[in-house]
Amino acid sequence: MSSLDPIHDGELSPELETALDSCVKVFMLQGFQHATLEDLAIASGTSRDFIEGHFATKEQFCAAALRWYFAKFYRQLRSVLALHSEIYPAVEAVLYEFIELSREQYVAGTAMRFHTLMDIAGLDPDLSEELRKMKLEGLEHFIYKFSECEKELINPGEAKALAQYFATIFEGISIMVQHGMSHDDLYKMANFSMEVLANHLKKGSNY
Amino acid sequence: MDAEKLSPEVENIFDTCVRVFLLKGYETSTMEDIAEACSISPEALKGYYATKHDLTFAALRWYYLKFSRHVRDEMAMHSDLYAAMEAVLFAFIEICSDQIHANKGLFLRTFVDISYVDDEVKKEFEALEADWQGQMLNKFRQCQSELKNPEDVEILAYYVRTVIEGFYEMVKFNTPDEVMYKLARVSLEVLESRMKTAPPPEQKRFFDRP
Repeated sequence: MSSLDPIHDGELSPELETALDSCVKVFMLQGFQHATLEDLAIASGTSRDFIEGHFATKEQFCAAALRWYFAKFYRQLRSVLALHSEIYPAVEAVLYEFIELSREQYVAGTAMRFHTLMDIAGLDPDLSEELRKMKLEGLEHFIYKFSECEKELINPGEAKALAQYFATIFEGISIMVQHGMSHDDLYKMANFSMEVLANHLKKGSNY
Repeated sequence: MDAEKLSPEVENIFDTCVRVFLLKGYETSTMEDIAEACSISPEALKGYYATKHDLTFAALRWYYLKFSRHVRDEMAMHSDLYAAMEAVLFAFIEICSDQIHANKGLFLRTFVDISYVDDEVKKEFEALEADWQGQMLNKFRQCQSELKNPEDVEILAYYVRTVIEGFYEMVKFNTPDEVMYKLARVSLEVLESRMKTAPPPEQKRFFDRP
């Protein structure tokens, strides 16, 4: 699939992002089974030849759309995470960046139907496995960062659980953005969660 | 609608209709498609809900009430805030987990997405959302004297809500139950640090219970 996938590392123009979002709307209104590649071409404002040139099947298109969403976030968040060697500033920076990226999408009205796309993927065994791998990739990278910094923790054995706690917060924030939570309140949520991390850092750390 | 008193057949209809919407489309699917997927006759389905729109409303309300009723019951059973929120998080994990184990989908987000293209569903969704958040906020207000700073009630209610939304996705991602209970324990540290009196150690040990 990846060899045919035209969406590399989340590099998409805003026009293509909007086009992808329109295609997901087609899936929602007409159904994954009923929607044709031609429907996707119309929705995205391209031609059937263009769509068929890039995607052999609807499943392939669906996987590419999922990959786009995850890659866009992962690439950005990974680079922010890598900028900080200590766990507290790293997690704080990633949370803030996540809020900004999520708010950006909310304000632009793109990726509003992303959860429907994930639910569609959940009904197809191959897409479901693809989705699981994508989510796992993000979580594992986060766990790796916590493991790298485990010496900063009172109990290094808690590294994975803390990473999973922050994964929960990311998921929660993502939904609260869609529910229209204010920018200030989103930052308060992030700061609350940072208190949890501070509780688990060795005494003498500056946080 | 009383979410507790629904027959398994109706619950199955609600779960199945979302799958049909996803595969055949919210606009293009018919009551006949849904009936066929539920293995019942179209007449039997229409005996429950006259139109697809009625069914969508009922299914959306069922999803909300299924969770909010349990959450409300748990909050009512505990007079102190910490124990109430602990019970809420545990109950939420249990309900989500039961859904997964029963091979039912956690499709609430799809309903939310449908609300973007259906104004009436959107209004209903917003009303249910406000009710859900209001219940949580009321409990915090009732117990605000337990907090070091009673002005924190609103933002703490939002925090618990954020955690709950995160839990929904983590269970959906097949996070094991024992990990979820640990996450509940960690999440509540935010509340614990804001309580005038720390929860008793035996209450905190409750977290380790699967």
